[in-house]
Amino acid sequence: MNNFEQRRLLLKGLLSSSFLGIASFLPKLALASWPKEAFQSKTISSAIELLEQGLAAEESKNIKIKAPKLAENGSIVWIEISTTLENVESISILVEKNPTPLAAKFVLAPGTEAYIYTRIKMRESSPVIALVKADGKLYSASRNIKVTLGGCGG
Amino acid sequence: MANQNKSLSVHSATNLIKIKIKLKLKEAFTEVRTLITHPMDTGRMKNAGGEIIPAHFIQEIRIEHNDRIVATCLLGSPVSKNPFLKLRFKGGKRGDVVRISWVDNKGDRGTNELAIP
Repeated sequence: MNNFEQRRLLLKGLLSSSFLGIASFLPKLALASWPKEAFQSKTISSAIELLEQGLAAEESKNIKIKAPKLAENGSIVWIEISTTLENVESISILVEKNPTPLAAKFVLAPGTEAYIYTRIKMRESSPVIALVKADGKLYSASRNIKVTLGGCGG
Repeated sequence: MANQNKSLSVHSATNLIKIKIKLKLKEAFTEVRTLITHPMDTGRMKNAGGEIIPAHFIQEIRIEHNDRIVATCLLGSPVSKNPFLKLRFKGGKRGDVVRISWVDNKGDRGTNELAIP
């Protein structure tokens, strides 16, 4: 048994002994905050509602989305989101026409720039929505990305 | 313990998962780039034999600067294979440690760290 396995056993022991019933709801400790229902939502509106507890998003011109106008391969589409809004708490990416629209949510600590860059999959040409939570309010911006070859296997 | 060095660490059950980290100290911020080798299977693709490949994707990537969480990235399967992220945080100095940790939907996890050059 290596150290890692010992640590896992210790963790499992801690979970079952000290958290008792709660442990069954938290089989994977670090995933307690992963918003499963929002990620499994099939529509953009229910994904946002589940992700942000019913907060309504206001369109904002202070959110900038950079992405290719035309993506040849839908399995790798780069996207960069930045905003001049203050006190940004999180930035999320949603693809309207994907089987499950929510791609990712970046929870940013104070002192982290309101900037993210990543690569996502797109089944087909679709509006891509950037959702920014700042000062407790929700803002959004959208941009169309055309996809030549879909990348979701849908 | 799995083999560990500055550019690569493997802690995963699948033993194939690598975390690459690049750090750049700029005037206003430190830029973190990370690339994690992971299939990010959606659960909707089929293999050559026509069987569905079960969903297998990273759900969380945590970025820490000297033990302070800079960002918690919650990912779904629509993030591309081999997730690549770029983020920027303030207050980094040469020699500070940036740690990247991930966990996927099967409970596999890994971590790697690098000092700001």
